[in-house]
Amino acid sequence: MHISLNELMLTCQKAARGTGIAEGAAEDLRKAALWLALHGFPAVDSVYDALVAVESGVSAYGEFTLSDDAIDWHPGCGAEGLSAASIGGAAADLFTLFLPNEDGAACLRSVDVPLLQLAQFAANMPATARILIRWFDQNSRIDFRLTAGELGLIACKGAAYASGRFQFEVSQHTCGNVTVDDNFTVVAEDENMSLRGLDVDEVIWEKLKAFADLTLVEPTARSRALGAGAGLDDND
Amino acid sequence: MRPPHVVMRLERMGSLHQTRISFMRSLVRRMNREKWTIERTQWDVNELGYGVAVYTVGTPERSYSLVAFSNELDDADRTDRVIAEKWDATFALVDGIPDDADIERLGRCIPLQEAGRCSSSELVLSRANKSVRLFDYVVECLADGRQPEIQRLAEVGYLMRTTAVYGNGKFGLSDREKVMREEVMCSPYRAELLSVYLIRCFTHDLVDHVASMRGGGRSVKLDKQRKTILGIGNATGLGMAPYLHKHPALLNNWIVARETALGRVRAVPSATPEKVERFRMLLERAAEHVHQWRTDDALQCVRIEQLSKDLEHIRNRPIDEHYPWHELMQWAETSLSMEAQEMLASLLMEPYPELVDELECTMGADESVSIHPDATVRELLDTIEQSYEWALQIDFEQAGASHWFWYVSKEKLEPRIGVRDDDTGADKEMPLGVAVQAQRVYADLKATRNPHQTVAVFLALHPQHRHIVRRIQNMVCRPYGEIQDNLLDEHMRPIDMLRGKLSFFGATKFDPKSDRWTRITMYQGAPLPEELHADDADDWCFPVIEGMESAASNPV
Repeated sequence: MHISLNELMLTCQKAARGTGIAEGAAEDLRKAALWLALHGFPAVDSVYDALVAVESGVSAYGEFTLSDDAIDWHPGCGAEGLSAASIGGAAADLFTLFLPNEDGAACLRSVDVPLLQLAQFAANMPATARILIRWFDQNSRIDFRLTAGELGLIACKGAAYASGRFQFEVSQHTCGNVTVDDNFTVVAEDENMSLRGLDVDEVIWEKLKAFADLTLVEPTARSRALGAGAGLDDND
Repeated sequence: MRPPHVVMRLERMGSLHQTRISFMRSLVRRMNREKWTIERTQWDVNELGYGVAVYTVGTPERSYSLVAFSNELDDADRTDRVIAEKWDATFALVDGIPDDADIERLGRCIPLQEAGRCSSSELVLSRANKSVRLFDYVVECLADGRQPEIQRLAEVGYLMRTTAVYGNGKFGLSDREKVMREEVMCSPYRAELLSVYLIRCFTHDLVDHVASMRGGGRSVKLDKQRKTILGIGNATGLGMAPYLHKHPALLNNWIVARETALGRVRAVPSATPEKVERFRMLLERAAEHVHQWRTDDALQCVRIEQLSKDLEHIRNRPIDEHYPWHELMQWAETSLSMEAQEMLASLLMEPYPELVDELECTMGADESVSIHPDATVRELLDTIEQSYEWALQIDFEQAGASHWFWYVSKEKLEPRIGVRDDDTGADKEMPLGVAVQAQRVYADLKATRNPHQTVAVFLALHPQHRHIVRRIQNMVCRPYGEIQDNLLDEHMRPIDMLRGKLSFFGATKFDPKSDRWTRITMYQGAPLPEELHADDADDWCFPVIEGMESAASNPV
């Protein structure tokens, strides 16, 4: 199925609201979904997975502790994962503040959909902030290391983790149906994506739209007659 | 420039009129300047007026085509509401010139409107219904060899009325980013309003065609004067109000352009006789236009009546030698109704294209917004106190202050409002209550012990405020982006927002059907395709219909 990028963004935003995510975080998710699409990642799958996790209670906004040079954000009681859909933008804000601090350390534990969290960082952080990522093999963890240095998103290994200022621990290693492997690299933004739109899996898309539909109000005879302030026929 | 607290009030937005930089006006100027061509490239329409037509527009950069599907529609199925499922005609504006395969594909999806799927080759999706009062009457007259009475044409003003004009990626359409890559389409609503202009051409051809089929050799074609009178109607509902809320950067730029234009004219130290004469001529025209403005809406009738009197006052006032337009506007601000003040603002811009027209290029907007996480709680409090003082002053304890809630119905996604205490759905409210949100975040900021706490930390602790904080921070450099009224208040009139937006399109003859629904006329008086290259192609503001009775027949 073919959709426009505008449809992608609006549907993701509404779907987030439909699962109870606050409007501001839903706006972040809209931007993150666009970032994923423009970089050739499975935007619809990632967002859908994240919202399923929220809706089912598997993932949550979680709890965090802050000190002058450290953030530690974890799922808290009753949830298995930290929701990339719910915390993404807020985490990006906090991490932005840590950028100038060479000694800072930040940890997001058990982020449910790491690819979405990456997009949240990329889409919601200032353009000057650059993310170096390292993708370990399965059963290991994912680093997101932030630096104000070189432009571009760079896949790196080992040493980067050891010297990284920011560290993520994730509970799963997949995003939708896509398995991320050692060879994962981030491609450049596809500038032509907005010219042609996006092909998506219709089944997943419809499921995502079902979340978005949760923001809609069931019609009543009264709302039909009065809610729009117009008559039911207009044979003028 | 008039300050935001003066301009950004609902009542004033509900008094705005078309200006030189309204989007229809700037489109027609561009068509004129660049010698755009319009050609009917396909006409497969039967004797009853049903079938397919294609109109192709040639611009210096590329071609665009309107594909029109005219369908049979039972009177019982004709409604302007979004909840309609059938229409008299449906349209798509496509990039380039469609071939047979394209038209066949479009024929399967365009008549379905929201239920179909468009492709990124289509820029705009639209539909229109016939005016039952006028369409058959015009066909009957023409088939019988007579021109229809001008009075009857003028009372309606259009043969068809669009009920939706979709763009920007809706239902699979081309994303706006793609449309914007073409310089000719980079102004707001350019593609949508080009579609409407072409729909007008289609309606003119359609009545000629059906009359010809019905009357044979006896029939005549609709004459030029009558075609010029007939624009395109539009029925507009609540959807436009959330649009303004969701696009504050765009709203800011529209208003800034308008206020800058007015400010430049007010700053003119003295007016040449030619400018004064032009103003006086347009004032006369506007007065006649207002006389011909018909509506059944009681409140609008009263306003039109007062507007007529106020225009007479302007006519009787001498034009000062020094800063004439500033003096006139200043006098109007204390002496005339808001309708008249805003019509005067529109009129003052007309004689000064050299000061005004370039501002049409500033009306697009970069709508990207971001949170400034390193700001402190104290700084955010200061921002709210400075930019949202109007919001802090609203007393939400007062009865009626939270009367309405805005929502989207499951019924074809129609935007609606409900009474909070009576209707279901308030839990799915759209966030249009900017004032109440501003007050809530202000209270939580005040309760924060550490004024040096960063916004990042505050929002991590209060994620419910993320939306309003982002909005507030980004409005600092967009002072005209916020409507400074409580959109939940019992006395709020959504139609004020509708009218404000429609005035920027270039609409005229606002005809409210309720406080949340209005009909308008678009392109009435605008040049026909064969007149687009004429020197006076831009001279169609406040059109007057020759031969129409200047009736005080509005049922006041």
